[in-house]
Amino acid sequence: MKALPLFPITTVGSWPRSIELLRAQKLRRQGTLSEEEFERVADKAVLNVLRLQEEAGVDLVTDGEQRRDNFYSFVAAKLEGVRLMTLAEMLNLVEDTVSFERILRTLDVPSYSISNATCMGKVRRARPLAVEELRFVQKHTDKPVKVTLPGPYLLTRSMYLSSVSSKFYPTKEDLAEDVIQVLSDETRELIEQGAAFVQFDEPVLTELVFTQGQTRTFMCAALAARKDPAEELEFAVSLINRVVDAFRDSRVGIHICRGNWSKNEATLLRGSYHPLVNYLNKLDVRQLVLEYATERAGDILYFEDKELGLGVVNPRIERVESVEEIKCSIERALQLYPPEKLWLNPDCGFSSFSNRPVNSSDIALRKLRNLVVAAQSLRP
Amino acid sequence: MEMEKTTWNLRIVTTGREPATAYMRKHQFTVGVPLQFDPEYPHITALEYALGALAADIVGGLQVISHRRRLKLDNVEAVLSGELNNPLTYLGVVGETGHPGLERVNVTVYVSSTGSEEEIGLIWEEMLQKSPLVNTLKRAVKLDLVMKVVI
Repeated sequence: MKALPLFPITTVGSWPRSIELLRAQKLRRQGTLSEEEFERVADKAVLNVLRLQEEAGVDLVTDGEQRRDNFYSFVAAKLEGVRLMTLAEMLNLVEDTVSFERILRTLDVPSYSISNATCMGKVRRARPLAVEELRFVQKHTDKPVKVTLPGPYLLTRSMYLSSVSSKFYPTKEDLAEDVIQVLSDETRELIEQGAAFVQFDEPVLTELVFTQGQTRTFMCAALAARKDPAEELEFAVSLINRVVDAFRDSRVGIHICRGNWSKNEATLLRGSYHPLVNYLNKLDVRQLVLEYATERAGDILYFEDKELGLGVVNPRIERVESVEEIKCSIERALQLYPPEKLWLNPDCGFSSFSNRPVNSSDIALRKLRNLVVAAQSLRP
Repeated sequence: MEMEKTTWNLRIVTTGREPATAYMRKHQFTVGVPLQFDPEYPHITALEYALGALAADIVGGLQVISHRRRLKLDNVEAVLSGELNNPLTYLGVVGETGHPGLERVNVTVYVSSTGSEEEIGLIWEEMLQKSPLVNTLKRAVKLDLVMKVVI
């Protein structure tokens, strides 16, 4: 693999889907489009996203999560014991119905349009989660490839719906054991297949520290009851470390944001990563992919022995950050991190939920282009 | 020929204990107090039934009309919020002015269909013209109805 330049540039994963792809996703859900037909449409979409990243000058590419309906629920199609349920089907089953309804209203979406992977049996990997996605991208690019996966804590929290899951796992902690197995097997296979970077998404960690007494803002966290935040964070750290333990020589990272489902910054969580520092320092991952373009994330913090995937453009605002602005953000981070530890990326994906992009493909591309120009101007 | 007027009849009975039971045709349902501020109150209030009826009128009306027009609506979902003129008057708070009636009702209706936005728009317009409850309430409260097409 070609050596990466200083300040390697990558995305956090998702890219806005075309109308054609959204229609194909819907028809596949309804069972009126075959898997093969869907894959044909998705292949075309992935190739387009790949070309856009290459043209922009991104160093590590992703497939834009084009085949996924959202950043975590796509696992339902790949796992035994997990079924995709629309939120409409779950209205009677969630523990905290009032919070659930409030989140739906804030999202301004119908409950039938968002799906959640729900544990309804013993969880086993029926087929790889993302290995086929990786192979397809590798076949069509010379660039190193990053693969995004939902993290073990996110999957455990979101899949455990007590009313239906407790028959198979008395507690979510019991479910976590099988989730760890699934993700360990997947990571091993991805690395064997040549994934340059495996990123686990764990947005719910911020929900634990920033929502004390406030409205929950993560749909994926509103399902299972949480315990004391400190206990939950310790639990999350232990799950992540058990998954990544065998892959310390590979580039495995964790992405943590404060929600990416609304363009209204006021509705998203706010607060520095400071309350998470002790926990993040304990993670045996090489990189932390963090949002810092949004002022809601506060000042840049230093994390020992880790690379920082520095968020320098906000995927949720239409204004395209200027090259100068991006350079300033990088220079601020360079006061804390040596250049070789600094990677660059947007704060989050551009469409974590396929039918709810936070920006257009055109604006996403313009943001990436400026990011590349800024990085190039700072490289020796 | 003059058409005989149709009337809809129901009976609602309370024995002094909540909830009351409403009987109509071969059906019945129970209703709690007029309105409640306690989210743990165990019955559906009369106000919630009224708001639910309006939303059901809209989503059901859309389905009936789309069926007649031979356009399948895959999903229809309404989200409704109602606001009273001054809920404190219901509680009898001294010095409060206004009334406990509905001041404003906002309804957002999400529709998914393989039909075009124009076709869905025609169904929406026909529903607005034919809905019994929309046509009643729009004369009494600020009724804000929005339809969003979702892929």
